[in-house]
Amino acid sequence: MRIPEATTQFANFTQRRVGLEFENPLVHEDGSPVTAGVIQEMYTRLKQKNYLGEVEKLSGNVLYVEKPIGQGIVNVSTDCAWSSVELALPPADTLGEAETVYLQVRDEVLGSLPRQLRWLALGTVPGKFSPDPIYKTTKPIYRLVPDEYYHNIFLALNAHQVGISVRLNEATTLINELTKVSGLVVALCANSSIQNFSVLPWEEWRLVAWKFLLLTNKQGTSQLAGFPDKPFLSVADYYSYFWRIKATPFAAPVRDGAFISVPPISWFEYFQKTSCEGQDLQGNKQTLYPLPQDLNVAGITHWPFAKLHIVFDPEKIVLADFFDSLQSNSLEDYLVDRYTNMYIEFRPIAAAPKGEELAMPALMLGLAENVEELQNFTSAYTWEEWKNLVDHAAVAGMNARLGKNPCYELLKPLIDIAFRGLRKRNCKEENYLVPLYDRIEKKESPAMVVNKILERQGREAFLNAITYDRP
Amino acid sequence: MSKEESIEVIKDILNVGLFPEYFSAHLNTILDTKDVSDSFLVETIAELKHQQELVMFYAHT
Repeated sequence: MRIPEATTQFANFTQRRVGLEFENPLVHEDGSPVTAGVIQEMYTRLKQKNYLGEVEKLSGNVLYVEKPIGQGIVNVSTDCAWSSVELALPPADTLGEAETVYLQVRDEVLGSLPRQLRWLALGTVPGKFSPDPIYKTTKPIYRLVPDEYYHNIFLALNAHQVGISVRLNEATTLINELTKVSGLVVALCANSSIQNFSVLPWEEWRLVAWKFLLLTNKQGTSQLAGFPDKPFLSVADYYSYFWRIKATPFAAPVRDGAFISVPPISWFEYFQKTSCEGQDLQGNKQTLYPLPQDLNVAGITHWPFAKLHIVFDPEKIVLADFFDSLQSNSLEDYLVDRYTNMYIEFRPIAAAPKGEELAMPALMLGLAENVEELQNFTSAYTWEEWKNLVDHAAVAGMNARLGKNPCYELLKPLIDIAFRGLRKRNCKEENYLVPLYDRIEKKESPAMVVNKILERQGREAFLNAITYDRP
Repeated sequence: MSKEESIEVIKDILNVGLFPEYFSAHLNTILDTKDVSDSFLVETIAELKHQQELVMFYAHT
């Protein structure tokens, strides 16, 4: 997770753009997760390919490397487990352009890996590991999470997130409609069903792990992620929902590039204060005065399935006016020309099978381009029914039931909606949906495919089937 | 239900072996060594049971 680029180039668009944030597990030959040393070696080699690194002062570790490619900056990092290697790619005009950049960066990373490692097309680490903090990255935001509630669950969490540019006046509708189909998406792309080389009774353990990750001693924290309790009425309603939760430990403004943790507090409570006592990660005390730039941290410290990213322009926002318009439910008016980037990040997608990485981005982009048909489709079920489907799909994939219907009966109409949405763009992007039609035809999620390989052909064949080839 | 009883319920569910090994190990460590809140115990039991029921439901359909 990082604060998105503040580039005005992305705020205004005629054609919707797509950005990719892909996490894939990096493991040893035996399927166990890598730790810091391996990743530091990878960064050293990437620097030889003109990537520049950012070093964390506390540990001396390189946290990420970056270089300009395509329409922006490519970022290679690890998520909160060292073994979760993440590519954050800049927005692209078309899926084809996004794929070109992705393949280039993927090859550069693969070519920079020490030998005897496997980079996997799977949503989780499949081998054996123990609950040990050595797997936890030293990324500053995750230093805010106490070790005792660090379930090493992040080792189970390798997602392929899709960012789709969005306009202010359509944001709420798109958030709600994309959220509703989260369960169908899980059914279609479940890919985290194996740990310790055993097949789990879940096709998508990753999403179950997320639910437990946010169960902490503070009640209500779990509402920061997943499927919200209700659809949103407006952008103000969206922020009000998340900013009322005491988002400890993530309510931590940034000063001079470093997080300052504050006592248990919601973002609303923080912004209402004139000043607030906090401390940096070294324990140095600091008095904080809420600033407009803090909105950009508050705006990313929640993780719903359809996550709104607005990069607020701190030069143009007055906090009192911002919260007045939030209270009067008129943020859509206030924010005009006061943000520099805006998109929806769709989060329920597991790391994709090899060669099918653009399929789910194509689905989400196509649905966003055809929202009226999507609304007709989703109106057959209630918000609660769509919400409940997610847990069912995490267990049973396409065989999960929504009312009397198995999911696979609903998936073809959904993909057809995306197909027609992509066709409107006239960029020849519909072909990226082919792997999804194949999955429905066979009634097999990616999890079912790899489960079969493991059970019938054994561990080596399974690992070989999901390991990316080096260039 | 007392705190001790709640912890016992969680450990019983984990002992069935349904959940991944590392996950059960970590949750057991938390229960053995940390001062957990009542809300943590209540929410954890509810989610574990919910997941257990879903798995059983689909195992029989």
